[in-house]
Amino acid sequence: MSTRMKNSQLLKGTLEGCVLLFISQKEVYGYELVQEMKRLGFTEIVGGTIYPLLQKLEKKEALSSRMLPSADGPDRKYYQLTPLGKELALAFTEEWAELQAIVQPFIAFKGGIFHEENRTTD
Amino acid sequence: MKKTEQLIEQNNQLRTQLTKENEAYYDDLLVYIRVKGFLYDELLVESTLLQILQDILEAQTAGQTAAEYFGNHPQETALALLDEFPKPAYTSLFKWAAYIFGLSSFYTVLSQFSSPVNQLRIGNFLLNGLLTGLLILLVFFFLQKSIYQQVIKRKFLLYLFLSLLVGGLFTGIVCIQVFLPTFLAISVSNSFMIGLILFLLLAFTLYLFKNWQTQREILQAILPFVYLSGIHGCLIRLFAFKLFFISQVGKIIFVVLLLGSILWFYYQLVRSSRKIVTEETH
Repeated sequence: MSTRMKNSQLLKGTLEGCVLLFISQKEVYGYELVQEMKRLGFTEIVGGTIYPLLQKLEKKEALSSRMLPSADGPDRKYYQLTPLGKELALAFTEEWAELQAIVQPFIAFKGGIFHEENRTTD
Repeated sequence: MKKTEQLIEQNNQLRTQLTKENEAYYDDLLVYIRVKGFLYDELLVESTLLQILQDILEAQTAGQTAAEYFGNHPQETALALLDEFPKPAYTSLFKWAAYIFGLSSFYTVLSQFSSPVNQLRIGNFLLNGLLTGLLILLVFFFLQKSIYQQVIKRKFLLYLFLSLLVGGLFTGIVCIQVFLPTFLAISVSNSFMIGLILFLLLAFTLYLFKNWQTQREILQAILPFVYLSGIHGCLIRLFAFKLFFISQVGKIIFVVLLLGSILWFYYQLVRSSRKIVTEETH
């Protein structure tokens, strides 16, 4: 992931969808999630981006949480997907596929030329 | 122990494991979120703070600094977090307002006991409550503004400044009391006043026993002043002691004791001003 992408609007919704999809596979706590998202390609992500997002998803009941014991120190907060979260994750994959189908031709035909023409000045 | 207190205690203990650099980073975040979020659900605020601390510690073990892990914009993150918390209910604002008002009114009532005039100065009483409320809001405002804007860089100086600000304004409020003419006053009888004083002293003592564990710092700070004012208020109204307190010696003894108790209060306030905010144990 480029630094340029770090603050883009495009990233925000995408990240939310990806977080939901990841948690649908595995119950995680904050630090673990940040590391996994980095490993999977969101290399510029920091904890400061993830915590408000988790809080937001928990508030709208897409996520639930429970405290589980940890090896070193107090219990940790683990997040799981709720039925609503599952619905949102599914909706995200569908929207993404739809969007990709629309955007791809633009990039292939127009964007390809656009990119070639502007490459030297980039 | 309440759940929130447990979380704060765990936070205090875990914080000792932070490196100096990470501690500075996390302390700012902690104070900012606590001050800015003081009307929000305390349990949620504290559990989120602990969660972040645990994660920063894990990052630290893995060789990352707090800034690398959490990001270079802690203030924006803190605001984004608070924005996602359920909005505080107006009842909690009201509860705080009542608490602050009660605390300051209590002081006003006490100071009235020491004057031999038997009247309840309701107007001054209300005004004092309002002024103290404003004072506390001002301190909160300043504290929250100062953390990430670096008005005063050194932590120690910041807390010293805040203590002086509180002390100064508090003295100002007391002075206003002295110079302000009495308004909205009700005259009452001698025995009514003694009864009222004894009742309030009793209530304070009960409160003391009930909350000594949790509010020891503030209670021990105001304790000498409360008992001194109360006892003096009663004695001055009893004929047998009246003459003694009108005499020069009686007056001097009382003023010295009173100044001592105010100095004691102020000393305790400065000593614990930093502690009150960060609840530090180390």
